[in-house]
Amino acid sequence: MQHGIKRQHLSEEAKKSKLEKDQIKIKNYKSLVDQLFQFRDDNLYNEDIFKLTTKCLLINPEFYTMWNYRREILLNLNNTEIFINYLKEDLIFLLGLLKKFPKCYWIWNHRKWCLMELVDLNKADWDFEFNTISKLLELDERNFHCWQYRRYIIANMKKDLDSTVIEEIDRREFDYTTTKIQNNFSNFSAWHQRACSIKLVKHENSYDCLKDELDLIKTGIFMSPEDTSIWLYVKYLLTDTFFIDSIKSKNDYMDILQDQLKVVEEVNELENEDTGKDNVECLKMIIFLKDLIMKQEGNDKFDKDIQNIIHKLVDLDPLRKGRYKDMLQNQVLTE
Amino acid sequence: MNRTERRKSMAERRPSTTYTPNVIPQLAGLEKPQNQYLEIDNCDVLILGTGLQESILASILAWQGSQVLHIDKNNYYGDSSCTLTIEQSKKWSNEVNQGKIPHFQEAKFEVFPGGNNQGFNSKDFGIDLTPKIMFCQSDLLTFLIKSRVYRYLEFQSLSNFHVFENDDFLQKINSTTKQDIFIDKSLSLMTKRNLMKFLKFVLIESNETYKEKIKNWINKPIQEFLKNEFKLEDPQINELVYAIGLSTKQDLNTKEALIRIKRFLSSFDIYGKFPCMVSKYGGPGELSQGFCRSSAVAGGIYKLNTKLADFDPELKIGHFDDGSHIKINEKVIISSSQIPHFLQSTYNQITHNLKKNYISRLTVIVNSSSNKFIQNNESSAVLVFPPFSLEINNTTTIQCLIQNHQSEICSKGTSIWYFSTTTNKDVKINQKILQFAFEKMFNKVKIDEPNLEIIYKLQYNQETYIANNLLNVFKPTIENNIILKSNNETSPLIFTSPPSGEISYDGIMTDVINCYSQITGDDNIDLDLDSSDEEDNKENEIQQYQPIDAVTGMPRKKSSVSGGIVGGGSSTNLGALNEHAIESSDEDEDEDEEMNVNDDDDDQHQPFGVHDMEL
Repeated sequence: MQHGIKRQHLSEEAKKSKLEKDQIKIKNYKSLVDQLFQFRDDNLYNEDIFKLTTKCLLINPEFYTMWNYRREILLNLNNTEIFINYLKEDLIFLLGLLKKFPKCYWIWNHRKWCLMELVDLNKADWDFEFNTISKLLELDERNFHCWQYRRYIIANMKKDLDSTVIEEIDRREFDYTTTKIQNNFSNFSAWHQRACSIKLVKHENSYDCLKDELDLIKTGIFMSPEDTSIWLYVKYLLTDTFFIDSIKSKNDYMDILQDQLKVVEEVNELENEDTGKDNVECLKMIIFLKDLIMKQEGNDKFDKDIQNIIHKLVDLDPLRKGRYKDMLQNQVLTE
Repeated sequence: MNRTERRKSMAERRPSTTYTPNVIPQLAGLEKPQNQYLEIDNCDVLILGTGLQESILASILAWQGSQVLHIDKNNYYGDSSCTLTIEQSKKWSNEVNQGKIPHFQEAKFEVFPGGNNQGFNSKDFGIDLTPKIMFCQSDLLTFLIKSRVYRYLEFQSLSNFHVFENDDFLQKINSTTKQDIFIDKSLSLMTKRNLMKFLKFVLIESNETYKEKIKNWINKPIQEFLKNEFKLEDPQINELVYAIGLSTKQDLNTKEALIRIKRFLSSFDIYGKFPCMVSKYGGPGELSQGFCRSSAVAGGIYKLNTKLADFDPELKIGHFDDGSHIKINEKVIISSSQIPHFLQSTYNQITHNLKKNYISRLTVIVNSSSNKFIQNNESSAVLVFPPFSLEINNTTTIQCLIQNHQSEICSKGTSIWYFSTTTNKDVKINQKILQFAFEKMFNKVKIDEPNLEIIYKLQYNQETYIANNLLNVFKPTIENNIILKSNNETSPLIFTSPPSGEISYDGIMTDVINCYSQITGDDNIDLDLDSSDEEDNKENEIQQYQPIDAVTGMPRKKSSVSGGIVGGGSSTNLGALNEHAIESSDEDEDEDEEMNVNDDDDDQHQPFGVHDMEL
C-alpha cells in the first residue's frame, strides 16, 4: 500500500479518450447524413433508408429535414397495411425519443402527423395517447409541449363523443388543473389550461366561480407574491368578458376590484415589513387595479396615486425603467 | 431452539441464487463455499468487528487493492450495528449483563406470554441494535450508489414524521412543501406566508443574505430565531425543530438547527415522496452485510466466530483463537466492542480522557401493524416526543422509529417500536422516560385497538465516544476523536467508537473517511470499480432533461418529479457543521483555527459533498 500519494485522476487522459471516441461518432454521423441526402436527391424511398433515418434521428432529433424525408418515405409506401404498421411503430419509437428529448418540437410534430394519418385510416387510439400524456405530465408538470399536446388530444377525443361525455371530460380537465396547481402553483401552463377549460365547464353561476378562483389565488398571493404566474391569472379573471358579464352590476364589479386592491395592498405592506421594500409585483398589480377602477369611473388619465407608484417602480425595477417612463408619458398601462 | 439460529443472509434472499450455504459463514460473498482455513500468510489491514463503519472501510480498502482480513468474534455480521433475531437478542442481552459487550449496559430482555402463544417465530424478527433512517440527500447514499452496494439492498420510503403534542400524536408534518402549505386549510394565510418565507430562506437564499440574517442568532436557541425573524408560532416551530430537524435537545443553537432542518428539506423529491428512507430487512445490520459482501467480492477475506488472541507489535503478527496466525503489513482496526483482553489496558488508556455520551434504548414489539402512524403499503414512520412534552418532564427528545411487517423485520400483524434518547450525562432516569413514552403511545393505540399486547421488550443503555451533535466526527482532533487519538506512528492499532445516538446515517461516512485517512494518509476515496458497462448509460443520463425547480427556477441537480419547494443544489448532512463554522468564523473564534484546515482541502474530486455545502 502506498502512503501519502494522491491517487492519480485519469481526467486528462479520460478527456482525451472521450474526444477520440467522439471523433469517430462525429465522423459516422456525418457520413450517415451525407448518405441520406444523396438518397433523397436520387428520389429513393425504401424501408432500408427508413431504418437509416431512424438511426440518424436517434442521434439528432432536431433534424427537421430528416423528419420530412422520413415522412416522404412513409407516404411512398404503397401498401396501407404496411403503412399503418409503420405509423404505429413510429409512435412507439417517438415515445422513446420523448423520454430523452421531451422538449423537441419535431418529435411532437411528427407524433401529431402520424396520428392525423391514422385518423384518416380510422386507426388512431386517442385513449392511449391520453394516458401517455398524463404520464408525461407527471414527470414534468411544467412542460408546455405536454400541455399543448394534451389539449390537442382532448380536442380530437371530443370529436366523436356526445355532449354529456364531453361535459364530463371538460369537468375532468378542469379538476386536473386544480390538482396540478395545488402541487405547484408556479405553473404558467396549468393556469393557462385552467383559463382554457374554466369556460367549458358548466357553472351554476360564473359569478360564484369567479369568487372561488379569487379565493384560491389569494393563498398564492400571500405565499409567494413574487410569483408572476398568479398575477397573470388574476388579471385574466378580472378582465375576461366571461366573468365580467356574469357580474350583475357595476357596483358589484367595483366591490370586487376594491377587495382585490385591499388584498394586494395588505401583502405589499407585509413585504414592506419583511424586506423594507415595496414588492414590485404587488405595485404593478396595484396600478393595474387602480387603473381598472378609474376606467370604471370614466377617468382615462392616471391620477397622482398611480403616477407615484410608477415612479417607485422606476427605482425598484431599473431594468424596466424605460417602460415605466413610457407608461407615464402615454398614460397607458402596457403589459 | 437451534444455537446457530439466524435470519436469512442477503445472499440467501437473492432470488437468483439457488445455492444456500448451510454453514457459517453465511455470507460467502462469492457464490462458492470458502475454505475454512486462512490460506494467506499476510494481509495489509486486519479489521476486528463487522459493524457498519468497519464494513464500509473494509470494502473501500478491498476495492483499492489492499488485502483485507475482516474478522468478528460473533457468528453474525454487524457487531454493534447488527440486526438480531429474538433468540439472538436474548443471548446478546445476557452477554451485555455479563459484561462481555463493552459499552452496553443494563440490558433487560422480556418476552410476554402473548408473544409465545401466538406462534411467532424468532427468526421472523430482525431487531436492529442501532436503528437508523437514511436521508435521500446524504453522503452514505451517494457512496452506496457509487460502490454499487445499493444493489444488494432495498430501500423503502418512510411514511411520515409525527410529533407528540398536547397529549396526542395525530399531527403529521405538513408544512414542508409548497403543496402542503397551499392546500392545508388549518393554517392561516399569515402562517402560510411565514412558512413559505422560511422555506425559501433555507433553500434558496443567497449566501450573504443567509449569513446576515442568522448573524445575531447563531448561538441562540433556534426557537427564538424562528419566532423573531419569521414570526412562526409554536406548533410550526416544534415541527421544524423536533420533527424535521430531529433535534435531540431543547436549547439547540440556531446554526446547528438550521443545518438539521436543511438536511430534511433538501432531501425532498429525490427518491419518492418523502425525504427519508429505510432499508428493508433491517437497518445498519443490513448495510454492514452489504458492504462486507462487496468487500468479499473485491478479495477481502472474512472469518466470523474468530477472536484475535495475541498480537506482536514488533513483528506485526496476529494470532487467532483457532491457532492460525497472520502477518499484518499496515494497520489493525479494532471495534470498541471487540477489544481483545490483552489490549484492554491500551484501550482504557486511549479512551481515558474521551468524553462519553449516553444513549438509552427501548425496543418493543407489539401485535399491531401501527396503522395509526404508517400509511397503506408503507413500512415505517418516525414519532418524536419533544422535550417536556410528557408529564414526566423529559428534558431530552425521545425519538421513536416504527416499522411494521412491510419492512420485513417482523411478522405480519406486528410492528417494532424503537425508542431512544440521548444525553451527554449518564442519567439513570432515561429508561424510565422511555418507558413512559412507550406507555403513552401504547395506551393511545389501545383505544383504537383494544387487543393490543406487548410481545417482546428489550432495553439497554449504551455509551459512545461520538458526540450527540457529531461534532467530533466532523471536526475530529487528536483530543476528541477516538480514531485520531489511537493512531500514531509507533503503534499499528486504531480503535473505533461504538455507534452514535444519531437517528440518521449522518456522520458514518465521515467517520469512515477519518479512519481511512489515518490508515492511508489520504482523505480522498476513489473506488476502482470497473464501470465500463455503465458508460453508455451515463451519456444518456446527461441528455435527459432536468425539471426546473419550482422555487429557484433553476434546473434541479437530480431529475425528479417537481412540486415541492425543494432546493436542488448542494448535498446536505450534518457535515455542514463544518462548512458553517468557516462562514461564521467571526463569531466562533475558538473553532476557527481547526476549520481553516479544510480551506486548503478544497479538492474538486471530493466525493462526498461533505465539504461543499452552500449555506
